[in-house]
Amino acid sequence: MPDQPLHRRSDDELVAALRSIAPTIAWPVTMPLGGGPDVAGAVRARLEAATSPASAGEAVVRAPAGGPWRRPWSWGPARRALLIALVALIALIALVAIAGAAGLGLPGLRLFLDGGSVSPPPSLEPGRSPTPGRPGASMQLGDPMSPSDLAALDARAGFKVLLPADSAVGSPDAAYVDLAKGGQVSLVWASRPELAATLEPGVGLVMTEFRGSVDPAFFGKVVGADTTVEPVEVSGHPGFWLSGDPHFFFYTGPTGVVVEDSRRWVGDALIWSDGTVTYRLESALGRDTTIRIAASLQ
Amino acid sequence: MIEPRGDVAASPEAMVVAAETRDHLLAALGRLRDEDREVIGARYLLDLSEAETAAAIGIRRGTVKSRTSRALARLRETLADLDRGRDDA
Repeated sequence: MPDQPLHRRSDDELVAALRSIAPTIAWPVTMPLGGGPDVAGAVRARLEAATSPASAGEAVVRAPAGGPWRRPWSWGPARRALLIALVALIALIALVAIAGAAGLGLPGLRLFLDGGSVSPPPSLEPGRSPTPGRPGASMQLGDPMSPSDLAALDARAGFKVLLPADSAVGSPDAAYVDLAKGGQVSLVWASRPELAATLEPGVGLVMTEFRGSVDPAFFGKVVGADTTVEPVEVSGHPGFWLSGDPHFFFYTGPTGVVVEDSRRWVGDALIWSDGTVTYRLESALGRDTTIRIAASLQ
Repeated sequence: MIEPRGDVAASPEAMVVAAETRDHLLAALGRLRDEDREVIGARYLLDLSEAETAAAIGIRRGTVKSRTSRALARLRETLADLDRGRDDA
């Protein structure tokens, strides 16, 4: 009964409803392993490649009288590793593609669309004055570090931390590392005439860097109904520009427990990944300027 | 990014119903656990076969069946929760 609420329909009708929405989904074209709009086709092609005897490099043993082929079960270590890699590749494509069913995927990051509204935490109540001390000190970004001691930052984070070379930005005024979030690094610039204040008083720019591989269960991000998500490119890497409602952030920890980040984003955000590290740049500077700053990372 | 492709001609009423169904299903899918969303996405959004889903997710074919069944049940519960939330609002 199509007029019935979805939850009261039969399994067949529910499945039909699911299938009916599939053509309306514009799959993300920014999957790190390729894929394009024909995600199902891409997954199938990978599956066929993985199971094809020729592509897997397997000897085909044909049954008498033209029976079905089968491959020897005892593969050499190299072939087995190849197949495992292929299957892992397929799994990753499928996971990223399926994440696209409800949002967008980047390594270590998943964006979910969610129509629910979120109350801003007390830290973002309007009309607050800048917090005294180093910028971002009240944002729960982790342990404060010296923003000029890059070697110490790299060592603490476990990866090479990049900084924008754009002259309009200059050096960060504060740096933080949160080991509880896999060595997530946050660099904060104080607001000034060239860096308009974000929703966090006194803060003009926040840059977050984290390794996508640190948390295999993905970081997660919930996008409110009033948020616009636009695919963009940063120095040849796929990314997304999120504007509109402030966003909030959650991630799935190593134990599978979903942890909600206590901090909502302080402005429009650019998210992109170089394949290993995922970057997030929050500002009030607009899309093009933020992308320009992002492209100057070094 | 999810957006309508706009290649389906339908009456305005049907389009509204379809949009509501789509939004409702996507909202519910977004609330499912990863493993439920994966199997539903593979089977019904990507339209992969059970064997293809098993290979894509890295589970046994028999597990696809049971996991799909459980995932559909959870999807139904989530849809019901969403409906209750709308009624209460």
